Amino acid sequence: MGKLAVYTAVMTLILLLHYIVPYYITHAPLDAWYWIIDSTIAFLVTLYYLYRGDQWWRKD
Amino acid sequence: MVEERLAAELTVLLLYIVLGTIGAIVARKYGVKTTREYYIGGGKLGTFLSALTYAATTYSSFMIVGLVGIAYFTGIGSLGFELSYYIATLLLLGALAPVIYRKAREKGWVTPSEMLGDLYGSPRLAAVISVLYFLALLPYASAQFKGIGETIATAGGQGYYAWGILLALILVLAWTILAGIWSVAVTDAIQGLWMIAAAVLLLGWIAWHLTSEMHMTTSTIMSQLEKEGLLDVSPGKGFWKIPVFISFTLPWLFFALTNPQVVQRLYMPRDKRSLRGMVIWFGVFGLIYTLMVVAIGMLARAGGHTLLPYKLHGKDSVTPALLNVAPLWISVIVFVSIIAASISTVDSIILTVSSSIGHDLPYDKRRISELSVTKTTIVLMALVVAGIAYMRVSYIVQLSVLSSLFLLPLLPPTLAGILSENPVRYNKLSWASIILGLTAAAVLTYYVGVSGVFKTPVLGLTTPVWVFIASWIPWIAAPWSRG
Repeated sequence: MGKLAVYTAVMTLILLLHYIVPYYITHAPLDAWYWIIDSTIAFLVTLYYLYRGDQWWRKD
Repeated sequence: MVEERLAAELTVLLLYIVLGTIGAIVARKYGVKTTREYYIGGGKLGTFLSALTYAATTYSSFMIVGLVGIAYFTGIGSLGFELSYYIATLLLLGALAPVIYRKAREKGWVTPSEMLGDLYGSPRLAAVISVLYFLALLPYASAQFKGIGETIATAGGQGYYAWGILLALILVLAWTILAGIWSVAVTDAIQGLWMIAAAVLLLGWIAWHLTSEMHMTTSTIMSQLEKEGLLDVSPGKGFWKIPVFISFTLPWLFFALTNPQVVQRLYMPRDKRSLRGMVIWFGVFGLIYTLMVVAIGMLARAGGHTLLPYKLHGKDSVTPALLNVAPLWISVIVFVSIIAASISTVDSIILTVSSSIGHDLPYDKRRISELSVTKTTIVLMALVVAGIAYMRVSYIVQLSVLSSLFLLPLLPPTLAGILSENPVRYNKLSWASIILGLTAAAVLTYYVGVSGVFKTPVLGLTTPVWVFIASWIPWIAAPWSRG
């Protein structure tokens, strides 16, 4: 449950910042780069969790 | 020149049809006998098929036609819009796919409506949801057929529109009925690879054209887009104001849990390793495809009238205009990829909805075989969808974007059902959630009109936000009402 909670929290934060940062913090042309980078990070975090998350390696 | 183009289009279209049909026939070797094999391949799909059928089902022709146009007209906000769906889907799949997969194996679920009915101990709920799937996805499926008709009409002339609809009908019926999900998954894999290849070719050609023929550099492209205000989403500027961004993205954030054609795909992988592979390769496909599609739209805009010397009428006209100026063989490969993207989405929707109807509507299954009901529903639904598309009503495309809105009320029951140890006790809440959410969606859509759903605020909030709130109200209010 611990890793699932951390994974969910990190991904939710990435999603939340996806709405906030380009609107209120970065400006053109960084908005596009921010969205490309946050999606790549979301993919890498998921990739890590798919190999390390309890529910993914536990045998059902 | 026109004849040469038509000949090339027909050749590549024929190649696509032959490839897909061979794939669908080969898929018959899996020997589909039971409903479980017909709907979810007996839960035996490997990583390759699982991932590509998930991706091809998710990404319809909206990407290569709609999103290219949205990027062209509205700028970089379109990237944020599509990638918000991408991040949310990764989150939902990473956190919940193994739970849904495990429970589906334990309980033997084959349809998403059966899943919800079983979780809440209510076959009636399953029946109602299967009808909701049918109604909500009918315009979406019709819009895919219409898209194919329009694509063929753009290529061959307006007289070919009906032939396009007929082609779509034949392909969907053949590729669905031949071997159920096996033929759908195999053809999806072929079509998914075709879609990626077409996007690579089109993007490569535009980039080459801008740099070599028009002598633009990365900095001149960026400054051109910046000058037009297409790289900025600061509050109050341009199309993507924050309330618009939220209302456009909200229904799609939960697509992976509310749309039955993708939920059903979580039951299909052979084991957890294949499920993991499915998520990873969907992630790779989704990110690359989204970036390429938005880049095509943005680069086309940077090319201006030199690249597209046409007056463009609306977002859906950008890709056809690009096909007119692109080299012939790239143009025809992209042309067929539009058809492939539509077919791969619509055949999955029709198979999933028909399996829900056949499996979860109440009738005497000892007298009428479930598989025959499902196959009859496939034929009927395909005919209805083709009929609606044939009438060529303009508002069908507008209606289709409401599909995810009308499926949004399924979010709370799905989440609570999957995460709760004993969801049966929340049966009434799940009904209340669906009824309230659907009522809000219907009343507000009627009030603001279909075109105002994502833009016109009611009491400060747009329709998707109200539907989202309405469907959660019972779950928030219930603990308080008990004191």
